[in-house]
Amino acid sequence: MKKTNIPLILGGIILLLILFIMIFPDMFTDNSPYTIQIVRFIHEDSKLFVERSPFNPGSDFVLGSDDLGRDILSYIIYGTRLTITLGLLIAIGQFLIAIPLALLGGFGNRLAKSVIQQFNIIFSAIPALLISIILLKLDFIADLDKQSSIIAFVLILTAVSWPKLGSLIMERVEAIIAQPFIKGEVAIGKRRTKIALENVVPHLAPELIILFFMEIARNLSMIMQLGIFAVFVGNLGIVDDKGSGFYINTDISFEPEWASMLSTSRTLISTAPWAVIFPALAFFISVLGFNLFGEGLRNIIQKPDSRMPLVFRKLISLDFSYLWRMIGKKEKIKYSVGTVTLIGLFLIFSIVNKEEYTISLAADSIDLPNRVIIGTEEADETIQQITDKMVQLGIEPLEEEGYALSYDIGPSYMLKDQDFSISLEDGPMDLIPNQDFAFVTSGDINNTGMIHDATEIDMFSIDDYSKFKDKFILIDKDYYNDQSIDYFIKEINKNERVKGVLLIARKSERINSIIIDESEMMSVIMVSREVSDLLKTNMDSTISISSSVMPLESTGYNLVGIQKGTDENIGDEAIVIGMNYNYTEDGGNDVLEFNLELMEQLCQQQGNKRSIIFMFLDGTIDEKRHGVHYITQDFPYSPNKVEGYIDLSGLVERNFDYIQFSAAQAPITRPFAWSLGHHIEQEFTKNNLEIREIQTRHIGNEYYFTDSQADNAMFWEKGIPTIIINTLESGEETRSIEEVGSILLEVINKNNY
Amino acid sequence: MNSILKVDNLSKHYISKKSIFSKKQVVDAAKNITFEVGENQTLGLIGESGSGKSTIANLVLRLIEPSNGRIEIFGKDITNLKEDEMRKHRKDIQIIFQYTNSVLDPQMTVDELLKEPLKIHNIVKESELDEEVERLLQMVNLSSSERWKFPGQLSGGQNQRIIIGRAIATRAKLIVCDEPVSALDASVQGQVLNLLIKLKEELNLSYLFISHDLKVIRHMCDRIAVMKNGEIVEMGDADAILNNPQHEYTKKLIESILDINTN
Ligand SMILES: Nc1ncnc2c1ncn2[C@@H]1O[C@H](COP(=O)(O)OP(=O)(O)OP(=O)(O)O)[C@@H](O)[C@H]1O
Ligand SMILES: [Mg+2]
Repeated sequence: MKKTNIPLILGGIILLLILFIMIFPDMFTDNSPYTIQIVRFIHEDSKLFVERSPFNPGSDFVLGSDDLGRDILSYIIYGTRLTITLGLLIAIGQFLIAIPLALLGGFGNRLAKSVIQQFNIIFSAIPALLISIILLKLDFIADLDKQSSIIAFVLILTAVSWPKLGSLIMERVEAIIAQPFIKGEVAIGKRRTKIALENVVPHLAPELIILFFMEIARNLSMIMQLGIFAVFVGNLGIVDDKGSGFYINTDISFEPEWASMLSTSRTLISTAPWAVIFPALAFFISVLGFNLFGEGLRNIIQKPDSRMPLVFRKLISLDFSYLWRMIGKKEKIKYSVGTVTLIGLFLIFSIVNKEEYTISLAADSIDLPNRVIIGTEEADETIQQITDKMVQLGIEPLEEEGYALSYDIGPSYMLKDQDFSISLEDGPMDLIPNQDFAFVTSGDINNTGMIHDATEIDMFSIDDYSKFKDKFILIDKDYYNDQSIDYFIKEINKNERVKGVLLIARKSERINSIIIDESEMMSVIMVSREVSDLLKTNMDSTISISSSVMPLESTGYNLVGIQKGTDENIGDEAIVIGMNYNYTEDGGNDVLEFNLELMEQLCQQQGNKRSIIFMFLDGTIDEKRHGVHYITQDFPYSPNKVEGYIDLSGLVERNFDYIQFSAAQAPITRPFAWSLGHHIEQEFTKNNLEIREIQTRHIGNEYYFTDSQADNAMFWEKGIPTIIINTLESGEETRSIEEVGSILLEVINKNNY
Repeated sequence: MNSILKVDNLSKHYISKKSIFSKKQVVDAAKNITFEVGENQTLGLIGESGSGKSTIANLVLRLIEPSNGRIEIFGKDITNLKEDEMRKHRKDIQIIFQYTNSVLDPQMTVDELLKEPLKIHNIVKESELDEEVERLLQMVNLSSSERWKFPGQLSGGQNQRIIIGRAIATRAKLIVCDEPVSALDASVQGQVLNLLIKLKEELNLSYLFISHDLKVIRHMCDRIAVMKNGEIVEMGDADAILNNPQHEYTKKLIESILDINTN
């Protein structure tokens, strides 16, 4: 009679559950593991209680929260992936070392044998746990970032735990070799390597598979013990927002993983036992799962009449047709049904998983102009459309003057025409605007003259500008910062006989201008490196430039509205989303439409406990007139009520290739924004959106922020933690901002409960 | 007479140490063994348990390393051949082991077990493998229905036939039989012994035939060597030794068998 294999079924169920949790963690909890909530408010008998974390298990936190107010359940669920992966990686490492050495040793290789024995002696004298604690506590390792610390962790734990496995396998190999049939194979004239592969390994394999599961279980309990001694993976480098942006390391892990939970909460055992008991339980259940499964497998594949070794021999010799013939019809049906159910389950899960948050743009729902520039009529028209939308969605203005907050951009001009030509020996050559050159300041100007190459001289050392008389000065921007260049231009401007300044663009700088400052006499023109090389080799040629401009209204408008939060306690706290509405080319209206759609969907989401402030920023195509500079000067909301700012003004095209992302301005000391940023980054990675770092300048430990002043404004001027998301393209344009939108909807919703 | 196997002054001693405190003990499993087996001849090796018979069988096939002496097969000295070179000679000299049920890999079918020696030594072409397996099965009196079975599904006698089949598959001229029937039922013993005699005639084989059973030896052998404590105490033609034993030990051995018979 067939006995039901209870360990296998139980273990299988646990492992399957673990697998699903690892792949679809968000199916099992709605909470974000990164969310930190240190206080919460409770109303009881019309009295308000303020409670500090850790919180009891209850309706807010099913399994309670830890000291930082992080949800234990979601932390466990999201931690499954890293924790189990660690156990698995260590087991793989152990087997990779142990199997070859054990085989060699079993076949009588002295070196392999003594390596296994010596390592065993070492680790039986000093417990492996102790060694790993000592090694992993080294400052050098404790300071590593997440990726490297995982590698270090796996390597060290593999190194201390493989010898035991090695000698176990070696014993098994020796036992197999001692069997008479191996002698029979030698007598028949079979090679040793073939005997190892065709006779020894197949007989060993069932044992190895069972051992593999057992080893994972053993590794998990080792990881758990290390956690109790405060050794775990995933220390994070964190930017300090109080000082000048130093990198600091913390002892608390912010990466969901079970051992770190034990470590962080072990002091809470008497006050908040749930914070320790549940992660420990997670360990116990998975250790049990792996052990049961291994035990259950033993019941099937180590029965005396089991044909497992044969199956392995055929697998090793890649003889699949034999295996196919060997499996009976009934089993074939059984296995296919099993596989199909499993695949079906996965499909169902992934479909259900995808449904919730999607943003998609209709082909042509709103009629938007195809060019919007600050101070133009089209801008006025667009402002009207955006405000209409805000009214329609019930978004309220923040200031008395309405949604549109005006700011003065000073006299500004739009270029109508720009020309630049060089007279070379074989005739004049016309350069292409916004590629070879771009005017920075100009007016209705027409000028011709020679060039003076100032790239080889130190501009600071010049006090007599007369040698530049009637010439265009060529300056390399690479050698000076923006302030210095402004200073030179001012100085040069005092000398009226200079025709103009040619600035050689920095390597990654875009050569593009739409809006310019006025200048009656002298033009400042940015030129590409290629143009500058051409000019340098033709120093005696003359260049002629001309431009005509159109004056713009000197007012910009930032459109700001708020959707009030529903929660009576945290409703005042706000998430700010910054978007652009200026664009110069076709396709920019797609982005604007996307922004409007995102606003609409965010407003319609359930459970927006915090307020959401929508800011449509004017002038985003021009660093100098960028609305963010003006809105930070006169911020319409209390900055310390702002939990985070999501800067989407860098979404400039509907289709793109890479995301430029930075949450470095959302440090851990601002937990809400930090959690938001971390969550967004995770989702990007999960959706295979390639992330490119934003160029920042570091000097030593100090941390200067990005080249763009606009990116830094909110954080450095108002102390509002900022998450920056830009799109970049490399020509293929395979990704769409709709994907970014879906992720934002999900993350904001999950963090705003 | 052509000498197929020649063993000269062959010795094997084991050094055993029971505990750290006891002295080293040298066990002479085989001591100065010298004999010769000619073409189509059977040399019987008889002696009590532990007298060193299996040791000699293993030495002759270089399955264990000799401490001393010299082994020649077909006039070629194989005493110091490296394992790689030795492998080429393994097709000429085969062995049938004492235990039938553990000498075959339990995870290989009869088909694979018989093809293995054919493939290793390239005895027949790839396309003729199946035909050859059928022929071998026939030669050892097995039906082709056994071809897809595993050793565990066969009787001891059938397993021993497969081991014999493997031995003759390589076209070996000399087969060392280490107590080939002692683990089998009496009824099956006769069948296997007769098969060995039949094959000897058909294939012109020579045997080094090991047994502690005088009846079996008498049935099989042309010449007999009697072993005691790792040494050959008496050697000669089968009839001479059985009818006119010289050594005390041989006499006792023959008497004890006669005792059993009369009882
Ligand atoms: N690996 C070994 N290490 C030490 N002593 C050994 C070893 N192998 C065999 N011996 C010893 O050598 C002697 C001869 O053993 P062997 O197996 O050759 O005897 P045998 O004549 O074949 O006996 P049986 O009739 O029981 O098969 C015995 O005393 C045995 O204990
Ligand atoms: Mg023996």
